[in-house]
Amino acid sequence: MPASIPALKFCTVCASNNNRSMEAHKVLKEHGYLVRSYGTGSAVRLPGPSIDRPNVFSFGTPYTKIMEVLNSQDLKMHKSNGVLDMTKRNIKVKKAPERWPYYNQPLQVLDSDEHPGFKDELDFQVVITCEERCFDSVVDDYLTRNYFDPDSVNSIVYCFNVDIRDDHESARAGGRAILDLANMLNSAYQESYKQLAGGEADAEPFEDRIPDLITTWQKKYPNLPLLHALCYH
Amino acid sequence: MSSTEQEIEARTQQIAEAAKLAFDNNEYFEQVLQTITAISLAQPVEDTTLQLPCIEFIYKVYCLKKIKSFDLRCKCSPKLIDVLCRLILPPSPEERKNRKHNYLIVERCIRILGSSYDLIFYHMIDNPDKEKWLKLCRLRDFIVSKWPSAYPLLPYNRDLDWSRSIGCKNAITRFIGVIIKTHIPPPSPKGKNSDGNAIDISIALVNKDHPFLYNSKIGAEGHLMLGKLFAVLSDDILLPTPVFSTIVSVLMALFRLRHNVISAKFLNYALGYEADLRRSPKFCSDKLKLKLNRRFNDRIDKILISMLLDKGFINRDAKLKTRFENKLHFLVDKANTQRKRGIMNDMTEEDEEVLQHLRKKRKLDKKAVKEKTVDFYNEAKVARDDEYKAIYSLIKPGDPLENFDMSAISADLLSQMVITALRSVEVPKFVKALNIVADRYIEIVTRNDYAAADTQPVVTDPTPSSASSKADTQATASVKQEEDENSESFSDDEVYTVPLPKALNEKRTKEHIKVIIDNFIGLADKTVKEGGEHMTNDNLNKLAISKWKNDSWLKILCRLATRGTNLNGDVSNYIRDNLLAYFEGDIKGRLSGVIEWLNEEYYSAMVKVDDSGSKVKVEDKKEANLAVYLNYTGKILDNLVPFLDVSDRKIFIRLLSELPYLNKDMISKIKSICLDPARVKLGFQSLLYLIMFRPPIFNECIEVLRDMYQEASKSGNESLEGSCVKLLKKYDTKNSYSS
Repeated sequence: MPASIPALKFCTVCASNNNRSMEAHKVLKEHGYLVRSYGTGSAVRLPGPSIDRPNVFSFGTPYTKIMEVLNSQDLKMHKSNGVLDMTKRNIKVKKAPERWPYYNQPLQVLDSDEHPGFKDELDFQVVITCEERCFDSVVDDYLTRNYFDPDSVNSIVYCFNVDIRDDHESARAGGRAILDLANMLNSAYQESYKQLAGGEADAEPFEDRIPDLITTWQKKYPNLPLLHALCYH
Repeated sequence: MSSTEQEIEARTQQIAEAAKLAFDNNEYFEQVLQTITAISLAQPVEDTTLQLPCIEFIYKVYCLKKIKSFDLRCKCSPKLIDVLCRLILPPSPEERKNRKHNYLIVERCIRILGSSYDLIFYHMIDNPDKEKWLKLCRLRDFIVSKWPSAYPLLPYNRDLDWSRSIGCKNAITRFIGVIIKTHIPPPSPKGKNSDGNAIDISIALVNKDHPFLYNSKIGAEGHLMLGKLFAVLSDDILLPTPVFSTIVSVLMALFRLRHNVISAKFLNYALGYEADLRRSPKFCSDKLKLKLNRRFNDRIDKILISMLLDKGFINRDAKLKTRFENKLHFLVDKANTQRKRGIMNDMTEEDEEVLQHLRKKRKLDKKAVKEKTVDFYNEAKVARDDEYKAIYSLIKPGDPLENFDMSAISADLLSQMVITALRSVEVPKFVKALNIVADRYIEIVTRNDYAAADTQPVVTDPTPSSASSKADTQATASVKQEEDENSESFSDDEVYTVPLPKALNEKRTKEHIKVIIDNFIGLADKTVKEGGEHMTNDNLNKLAISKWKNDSWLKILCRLATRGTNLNGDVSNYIRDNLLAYFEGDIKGRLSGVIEWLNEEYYSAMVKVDDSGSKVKVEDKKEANLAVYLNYTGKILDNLVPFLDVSDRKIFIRLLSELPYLNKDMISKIKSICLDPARVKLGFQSLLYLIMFRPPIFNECIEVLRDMYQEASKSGNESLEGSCVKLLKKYDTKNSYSS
């Protein structure tokens, strides 16, 4: 039995990798997890000076640069809708927003040096998306990999969606709920691995624990409807 | 830290260093793999401390492809066969003792096999090794046979086992996908994939002169796996989301690689899938868990349909595309409705009713598919432990009922409970329960380690407390010893004897017997699927009932009346009266049963005669013992004769010929038929039959004829007189008759 069982690695995903996924990223990181985060949209879209003029940035644009643009605009509005605060938070978490590494599309991710502990851009066991269409995009991408490159598909990834409204306050509440889910998953994983490696007779495998675990979680957070799928890459 | 622990740690360290060396310098890979497989083969299978790092290394090479070179992985792949076979296949009897499968190791092994099976196949094309290939096939067949069970965990029941051992189940599903891909040729000619670099390993690469890979069996195996996969998918149970997701992933890969054989089935499956119409697994009472499961599966189906539409996979067929679009709209609307209602809120009653109706309809549509029902939580045919509890328990392990102390209930109440339960239980369910218990018994006593334990000397108390204890068998001594160990308040001075059950009074006995008889007679109307009976030519060892048949109940009741309760005449006659009442309902239709019963009565009476010693007493005893037989045969004849019709000739003659014993009184009962002008022919035909074919009662028949002749002469019944004279002249030649 190994002396220490490595913790699960996580990935949080939302549309722009700016609010919900970054809040969850921050919370998980603070609690010692290895985390990456992505956005599944085509670009980073933030509220602009008016409703028909959003701020659009390409993935990879550093948060500091985004901050500069926001500072140059109406400061009051960005303060009231929380965009400024979330960008400040993001600067402390990582350098720039990253796009989900879609199969056969150019990568819009940070260098591997920015993510110590990760061997590649898909090196995690758990993906938690924050919106149903993001969940659809992620699962769709994994299925695409199964279709086009079945020989390279061998790693298991547990995908979840926690539906969170895209505002600063909801993102905070959602982040806490995601942390709770991550803690439950990780302790189940650790406990199961330890028991199985130790040859305990009544040990329950990690995969078998997940349905009960997420049911318990859902009962605790009835306003955050969950989705789940098991994928391979 | 002990020296053994230090040694193990040192070896684990060595494996880690060797693995690092192989990953950093691929030229050492072959050598490292050789060493690590040798370490694994040298270690006991259950020693996870060293087996796990060995398997982990192979897993990283073949599943995570840490060795990038395809050629290197392919070249070394046959080396894995021995290790995988040893860790997975059931061990030889010598090794079986104390052997337990480690879930992690088994799961890793299956995943390794799934990643290396096609490589080994490819290697075998140019380097045939039939012995290794056959070994691999044995391993493959063993693993596939475990799908979709809870392997390597011990089973509970079919429904529940779907959500157990999900990791291994998914690994086997993916392995099945690899077998299908390898054993079925691609639609385009052999060679490289359309992307031009990866080799699509399949049977299409095998040359015609290959010694064992070029045969139709290989292809048939691929189609067999495909059939197995879709057969499981057609099961109407709600699959757990991880299993459903994995099947979709495997089908997605095959949809591209072998679309010639899979596309129609796959598209139909995606189109027809609806989680709400799937049956909930039995014993899953958490509504939210089921609701989430349905929601997740429907979502995956929605993503799949959306993907098939968006990527243009079904653009060629406009009708199919429309159907997919409609299904997508349906799923989107359904998800929106669910979101508005809230995940925690139940459906409206109307929605539930519609769903119930649709489920029933689908069930009727699928009626042709015969399904085994799940009746008990723990239907495993293997005992989880060497305890009685493990053999008899059919409930969920850990259920509070398990700890309920039945001994606290009085014997009377307990027997009432058991009788009530036995009365109310359905017979097939009860039979199933008994079969499970019987299977566990057989399994536990045939276990190698258990057998070995039996041969060990049993320590018995040198000062037996009573004479009867000397007769105790080895097994009971073992049990006693075990009980002794468990009992804290045991005292050597006290001899515990199980109290005798209270004797039932006559009324209660009859009540019980009536229940037994009613239950048996109730079985008469039920048709039983008759299985193949164990046949033997050795009549001494022949069994009356080796398989349950339609008439087995009668055999049991007859024997219960004649042999089982022979010490209590009232009970025996009570059973007989009930049997008679049953036959009186339709003697003609139940004639076979009547004959069987009366034969059994006669046989039993004759056995009793034989048991008595002297010959002088035999004749007297025979009459006495046959009283029962004569009484009931007379009653049967009294009930039958008045209702016989001319058309019943065959039935009546069969009865007369098969009754084991007839006397003059019985034969005289035929007189009434002969006196009836409408049935006179039947009466004389029966008498003629007895005269011709039952010589032992020839004289009695002639006497009856003579009596009838005299009566007819007195009453002036010329017709009857003539019929009697006709027979008497022929068979009673010593006397002269005139008509």
